Amino acid sequence: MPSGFRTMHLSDGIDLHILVDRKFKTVGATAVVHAHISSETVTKNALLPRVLRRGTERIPETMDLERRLEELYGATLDVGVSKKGTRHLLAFHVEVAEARYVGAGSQLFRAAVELLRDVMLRPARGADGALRHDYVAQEKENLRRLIESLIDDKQAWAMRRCMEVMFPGDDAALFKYGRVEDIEGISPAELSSWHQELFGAAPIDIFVVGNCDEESVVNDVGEVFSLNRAVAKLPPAAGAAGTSQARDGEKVNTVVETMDVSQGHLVMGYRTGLRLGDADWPAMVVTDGVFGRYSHSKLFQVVREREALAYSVWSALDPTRGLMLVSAGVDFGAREKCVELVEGQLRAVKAGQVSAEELDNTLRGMARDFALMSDHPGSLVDFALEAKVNEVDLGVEDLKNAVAKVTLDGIVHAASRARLDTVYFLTHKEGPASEG
Amino acid sequence: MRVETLTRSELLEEVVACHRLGCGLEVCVYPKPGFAKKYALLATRYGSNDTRFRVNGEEAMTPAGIAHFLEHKLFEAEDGSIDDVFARQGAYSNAFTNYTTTAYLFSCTDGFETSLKTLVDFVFSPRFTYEGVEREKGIIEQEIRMNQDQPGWQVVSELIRSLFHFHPAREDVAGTVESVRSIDVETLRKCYNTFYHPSNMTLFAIGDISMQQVVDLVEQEMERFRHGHAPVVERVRPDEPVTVARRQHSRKMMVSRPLVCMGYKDPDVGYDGERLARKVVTAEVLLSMLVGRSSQLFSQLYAEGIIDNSFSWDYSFDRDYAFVMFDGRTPDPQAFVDGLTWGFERFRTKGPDAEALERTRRFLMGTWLKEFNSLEAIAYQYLDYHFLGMNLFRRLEMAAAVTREEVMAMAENLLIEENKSVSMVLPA
Repeated sequence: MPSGFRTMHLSDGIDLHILVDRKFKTVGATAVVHAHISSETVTKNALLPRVLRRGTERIPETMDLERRLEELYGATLDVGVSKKGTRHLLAFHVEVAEARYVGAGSQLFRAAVELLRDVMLRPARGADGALRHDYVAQEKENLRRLIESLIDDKQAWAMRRCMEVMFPGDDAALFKYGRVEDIEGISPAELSSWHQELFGAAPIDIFVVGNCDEESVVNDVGEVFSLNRAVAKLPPAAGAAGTSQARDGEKVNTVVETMDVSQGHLVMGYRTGLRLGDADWPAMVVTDGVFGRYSHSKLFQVVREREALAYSVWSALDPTRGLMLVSAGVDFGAREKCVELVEGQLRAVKAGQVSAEELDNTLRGMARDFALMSDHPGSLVDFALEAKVNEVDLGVEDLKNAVAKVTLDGIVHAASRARLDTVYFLTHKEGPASEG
Repeated sequence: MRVETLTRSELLEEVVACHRLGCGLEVCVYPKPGFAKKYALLATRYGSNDTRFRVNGEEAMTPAGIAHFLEHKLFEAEDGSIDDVFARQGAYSNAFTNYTTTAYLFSCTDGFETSLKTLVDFVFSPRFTYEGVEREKGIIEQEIRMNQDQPGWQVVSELIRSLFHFHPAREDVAGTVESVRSIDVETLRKCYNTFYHPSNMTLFAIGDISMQQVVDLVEQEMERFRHGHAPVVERVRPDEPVTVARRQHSRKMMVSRPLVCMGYKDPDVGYDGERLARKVVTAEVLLSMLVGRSSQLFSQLYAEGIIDNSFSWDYSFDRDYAFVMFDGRTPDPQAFVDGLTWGFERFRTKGPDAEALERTRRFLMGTWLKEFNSLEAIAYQYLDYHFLGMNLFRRLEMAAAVTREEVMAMAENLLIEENKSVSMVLPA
């Protein structure tokens, strides 16, 4: 895999990707377990990292695990789940000081990687051999609270609902944290056997970024993660099947729902059919930039600045599902006018009505965004994962160079692919007719 | 004539060069080779605590919130906001005011020189009009009212008012609706002339930049402005007793669970520099051991459901005041207060074991080291430390050197009943 990473295959379906950058004072290792998202496993996947983070076979108590992290010079250990198309990614991240800055021994990184492995693969177990019942119970409760609290972020809620409308009954619409109704029924025994099954055969990518020595990283990670696993089964490509199939019919699907909200939340879902790796993808990226990514883009300048119709308005791409999404916070009565304005601006892009200044500002903004990625190991890892789940051999530099060459013709061509599929509007109880 | 001071850390492999220009402005350049982002911040030693002062012998009493108001006004261009000017240059800009400092900043990857000029130009070219000032009052009033609606903000605000009798930290940074209404062009101008003289200010730049180039550019740009002699400024502070003003305060708001903020007023104040730095590091060691994630106390209260992940603590300090606060959501405010108080008592009698002290030192060294990966974190921390005559680079070594005796002495002096006050927000 390019994007600056040097990749090597360890045994057993485990790939190691290293990016040495001595400008950082620390080195981080992120291990990502690839799972295919499905309604049977989504909630278990969301729960697992949280339970595993509580303790290991060697250090079963959470307080002692925290103490071990402190001994390792304030090493951080974060776990989480994310979703790209139909791929559910379970991530385990450890970050540790480069030893010489804190006067530590040279084994600091290795000790951190051992801890990472233990958390993933050698968890604390109860007398019955299953994952500790108390940890499972507590983390089930924490997960339930997390899912329930997500309703507080109304804009994100509207985005999720729009996805559910666009992909009815499709696994691609499942929420990364799973479903509240599944939580109750998950037993420690069931979670344990799922842990065994998933971690025993799923592909794992390990990204190491920061101030380190490549050779010793290869040695340390290679030895620590030399596991006796079954041969890894690769899940189907994240953008494949289900996700690419358009909802039947040419008519735009409009869905209005109500909730106790202080402003209307509008989401417009466009299908572009363009994904990371497609020949037209760089042009689509620039199209999105001209259209709605920046404060100089058409949506912000027209919908917010000129018409004062929205408090916030932006567009973004889903590189795995081939979508362009527009999000806006608007007055309750302004839905139709806002949809019309957004559509009008997209028509303008399709007609090539993009000034030299707009294009120039966008290309400069993109160059800046790509450059800034090198300061943030997390965004480099995310990009590499995006390429991996789409089964594309593409690095940050490749895309950066391709984007810089995009012309107005390319934008017109890419924009013509965008077709409005769904308009979702979250409004207050009194209905969309009254002003907020 | 320029005076240059180089501060270096062999351990961290970091260096910063500070120059004093002829006009009085201090320019600090911190090279970070390899980083794409470039970042600059122009700050004045003037914050919400500086409402009362003597300038050239004449005493002035100004409305609460005026430093913050001034920040809003300076951030205005002739046709709109300075933000737009920076955005056209491909830069992101912002500004902030706290108790002691007002700062204006931008970040970018390209065109650093152009944006640096813009930063210097707008901060040193104030435009105060009657209409502009009146319009701003409405905007700031909204900001104040919005803050007042936030339970998390209220609970801290009331704690500070409980801890201090007279100190200006009692006032919110933005002031009150009434104090903001009383601000006028003349007072703004007076404050600007008093506190925005280059000799009271520091320009800090960080990124893959050349020291010489930045200093030359700023020096050249500053020639456009005429600044007379630096005014003689003396900040006037009321005498603050060591006691707390109120033991307890609670109010009801629309919250699902109670919020508690418990604080201890630090009686050991009145200095800066190395001595203050050592105290701050000692406080961090003490508090991490007491209530950090790995502590017995955190573990126990968490298991009992008295605290949750919202629990946090903070040690705030300046030359003339300091306090520590512990805050979080809890189903049982009394158990929160009793549990922590009991834990502090136990710590004061038993003390930490040697293993805990060493572990905490390591934890803080690693945690602080990580901040050197972020240009923003460095800029904020550096300025805070620099304005108090402290050296940010020495923080890691100090953490390694803090002794058990220092930690215990601080616990004895700080975490006692006389210094304590509790603020609560309870469900209506």
